[in-house]
Parts: sequence; structure tokens; C-alpha cells
Amino acid sequence: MVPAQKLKTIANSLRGDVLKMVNSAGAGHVAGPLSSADLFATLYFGEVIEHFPKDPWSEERDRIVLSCGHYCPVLYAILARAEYFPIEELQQFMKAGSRLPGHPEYRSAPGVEVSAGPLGQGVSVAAGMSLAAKLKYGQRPQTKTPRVYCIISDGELQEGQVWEAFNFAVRRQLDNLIFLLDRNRIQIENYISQVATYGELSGRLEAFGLHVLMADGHEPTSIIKAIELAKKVKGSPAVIILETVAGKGVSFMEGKPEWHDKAPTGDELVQALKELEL
Amino acid sequence: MLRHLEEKMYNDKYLKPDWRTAEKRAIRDGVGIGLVKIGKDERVVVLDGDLAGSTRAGKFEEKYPDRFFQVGVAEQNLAGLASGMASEGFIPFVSSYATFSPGRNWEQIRISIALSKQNVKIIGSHGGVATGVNGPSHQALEDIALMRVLPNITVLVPADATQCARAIEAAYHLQGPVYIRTARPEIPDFTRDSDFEIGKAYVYREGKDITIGAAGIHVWEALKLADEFANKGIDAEVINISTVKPLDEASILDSVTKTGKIVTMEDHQAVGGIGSAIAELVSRLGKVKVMRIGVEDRFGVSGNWDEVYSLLGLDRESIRTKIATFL
Repeated sequence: MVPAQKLKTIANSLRGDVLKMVNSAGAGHVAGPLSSADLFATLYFGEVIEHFPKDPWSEERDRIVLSCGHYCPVLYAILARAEYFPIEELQQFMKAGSRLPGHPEYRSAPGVEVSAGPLGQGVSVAAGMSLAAKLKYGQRPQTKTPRVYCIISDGELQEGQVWEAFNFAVRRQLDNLIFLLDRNRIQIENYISQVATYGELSGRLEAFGLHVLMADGHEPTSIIKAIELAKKVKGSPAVIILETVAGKGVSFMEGKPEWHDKAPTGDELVQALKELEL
Repeated sequence: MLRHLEEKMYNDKYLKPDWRTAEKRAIRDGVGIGLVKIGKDERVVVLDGDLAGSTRAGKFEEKYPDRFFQVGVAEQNLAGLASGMASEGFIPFVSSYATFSPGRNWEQIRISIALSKQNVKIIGSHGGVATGVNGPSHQALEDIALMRVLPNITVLVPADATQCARAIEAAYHLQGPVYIRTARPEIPDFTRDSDFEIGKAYVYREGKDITIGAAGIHVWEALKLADEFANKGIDAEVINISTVKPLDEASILDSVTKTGKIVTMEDHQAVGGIGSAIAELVSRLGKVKVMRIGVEDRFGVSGNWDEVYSLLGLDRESIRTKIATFL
């Protein structure tokens, strides 16, 4: 069992990577990558998934689908830290012709499973991948069937396609499909609660037939516990609602919609890295 | 009169000898036949948006139920699921009416399939106002434009049921996204069964006075028109633009260099479809006269398809009149 503190330290490094990348490119998304950094650190270093940095497309791998594609700075950062590609390559973020475009493109770099950016699309693709895995490996016990982990954001739930995909996944009993919902409560224009009145989130997901689990998105122990429970769910996909803080780790960014996609200035970057103790 | 000599102009390599009186079948019927044939390969899966009966994707379901997935009325999900399955090594065919796929899920096709270069084949059924009584919401007039304007997508428009089945097969053999447009009504099944060559514009009739480039339902109509013109001493070259993208540039340019003028015809908006594709191509030569016959910037109407064709000027009568001004 990897110590939670180690994972938090990795998460902090990811936050630093993200801010440097976005500052250098002069553009990119910040709030979501920071709120999900603990999740990514836990996924890739917490010994909860099967993945093979030196054989990134191994059939035996768990597929990590980033559907909220604008979070890609943190995906690129964790893939680099997990040695899918050199960490220096992060400087190529958003540079024309690089493998690290502003929104992810299918297999442009090792570990990038889907093209994403337009919200909701990755959810369907993830469902298709898990259906395919079931067709290929369905005779195996559930514990040995490759899983698909699909990271989605709470703003993303506004897209109807997400619910089409949920319907299908539940109907087909895709229990090798685990959604990881980064609930940081903001979107571009405002707080989510101000933009669209949802009513109650977990109730709606349950009504659609998903097995709902909750986790503290900033506590690796809580995340790992929820993932291990999700793996045991039979007969339906699971969704882990990760309660997170937008822009987590940097005091002047936390909880603020305006940091959804603002590039920090040089001064802001210095201040942020100081707070992150990097 | 000189008919027996003119018969040589018709390419009996591609046309049935009795093409004028061929039995009727719907282009969409070719979907069922084609899918069942390639369905032997276990990588082939078919996903349908609650229209399997009328799109004929249901024929695959009858034969291979374990690889048929009824996705329901959810076309955006339909496209995404196919992308995911393709990335896992399957060969997905997705099926719905063209108005809904690629209509409703165009953006999903754009990113999850075209940008991602996934090996997904999209069947858009009920193309054109020939869809008939269901009305404009179900009559796709823009699908050829929508698909050809995306990079990485091959666009096929088979002219009859036999060719449709072969187009499905050809799509299966090709690596990469493919769009296949089919249609609802029964029309003469007039082509000889042979491999469908992607990227080939089939010259069904040789001629020197005018080139007619047609697609789908209008190919047989074009041949009938060529018959009429022959009686008037006008020698029309008829080409089946069965691959809209990539266009068979060499064959088309050869033809228009010879004839100097081309009229295109399709059950699609006159802008954006095969007419536009051809106009774009021949504009390179600078001196070719082009007339594009299609739907003139309007929607169709709900009615029997022959009536709708007359109303919209897509029937043989209207086309004959238009071409007369062009000749």
C-alpha cells in the first residue's frame, strides 16, 4: 500500500507541472487539472490499476479515458512522471506539431486513449471500449477483465450524450467501466449551481442505474478505497463522485470559476509554486 | 434506327444487358446483404439507432445477434461507441437515417471518428427526398456535403442494391472511416455484380457531346436520359460517381476534356454534394461548362417520392428540360 503522503507529494508536483506548462504556453486549463491532481497521482502511482508505461497499448492494460479533455495538462504531466514519455516533453504542450496538443488526440502520445475536448464524447467511447473488452475477454472472471476508467467533470454532465452513454452502459451491464467524476463545482462561466440547477447529483446517477460511490477527491486513501469498492461492483458500471476544490493547492485559485482556463502570469506562477512548496 | 450500333456505347462490363428492364430493389436492401456477407469476420459489429428494420441492418442481427447492438434513439452515443470499439480492434458499422447520422452526431463523427481516424463505417440510410412521405425531417439533403468536408472520411454512394452490397464489402476491406449513403425506394437493380472499386468513377456509357455525372438513384435515370438523347443524335457519356471522396479525378477530367461540358445530378442539395465536388475539380481546367442539378436550396416535402421528385425538379422530365437549355 503506497503511503498517502507520497501520492499527495506526487499530486503537488503535478500541480507545479500544470502551472508551468500553462504559463509557458500562455493558455490552457487550470482549475480542473489542479482539482484532479490527487486522483491522477493515485491512479498512476497508487497501485490500483494495471498499466505499462513501457508497453502503453498492452491488451492487458486498464484503459484510462480522459473525457473532460481540457484537463489534459494533468494527464500529460502524470504520463510523463510515470515515464510514458520524457518529462522534458511537457515543454512541447500546445506547440504546433508536438505530441501534446491543447486537447488530447487519440494516441498522439503514449497513454492518450481518446480524442477529447468536446464534452461528453469520451463517455461514449469509454462505453464502447468496455463493451469491446467484454466481448473479447468476457469469459474471464471480472477481476481479470481489463477495465475502463473514464474521468468526467461535473460540468460535462450538462451534455446529453453523457446520459445516452450511461443508459447504454447500464443496460449492457458494463461492470468493467468505472466513472471518476471530478466534482469541483465550477465551469467556465460560473459555479455549476448558478448555471444549471440539477437537483441532487448522486440521486440522478443512481436513478440511471449507476452504482454510486463517494470519495474525498483530495485524500488518496479515500480514492483508493472507493476504487477498490467500484471494482467489486457486479452488473452495472460504477461512478465515484470525487468531491474536489477547483484550483486546489493554490490559495488564490481555489474555488474560483475564473481559473477554469486562465494562464498564470509569471508572478502568479512564482507565488503558486511557493505555496505548493516546489 | 442506329440503336444496335449505339448499344456498343453502353459498358456491358458494368451494366446488365437488360439494364433498362431490370427488376427493382431498394439500394438499402444491399446493406443487409453486404453486412451478412462480411459478418463472418468476428471483428465486424453492427450498431443501430432503433431503425434496424428499415435500414436493413436488422439482417445482420438475424444472423449474428451477439455482434449486433441496438443502441436505441441515441445517435451521438452511437458514433462514440463505434469509435471505442474500433480502437479495440473491431470493425463497427453504424446505421441510422442519414438525417440523424451524420446529421445529429456530426460533431461526434468529426472528433471521435474522423480526427481519431477510427475504422468506423457509417451507413446513412434514406438519403434524399426519395425518402418520401416521412417528410423533410427524414430526407437527408446535406449528408454528402457533411461527410466529404471532413478529412479522413471516404464517401460512397452506390447506385443500386447490388452495388450497395459491394460497397459495404469494400468499406470493410478499407482501413479508415467510410460513409455510405443508401436510399429507401425500389429502383432498377441494373449493375452487374462485381467488386466495388473505391475511388473509381464508372463510365457506364461512352459519349462525346456531354458528360453526365450522377450518383445514387439518378445513375439509372441518367442512362435513360442518355437513351433519349441518343435518339436525338446527342451522344452522352454517363459516369457513376459512386465514390464522391476521393473523387476519380483522372477519369472525370478525361471525360470533360473530351466533352467540354458536364451536368451532375443527385438527390441532395445542388450545393455541397457531388455537383460541387465535380465543379471544384473541373474548375482546374477553366473552360468546362458545369450544370449542377439537385435540390435548389429548399427542403423537401412529405409525399410519394415520385411526386416529390416532380415538385423539386429531380424527375427525368424536369432534368431533360434543364439539360436542353444546357446543350
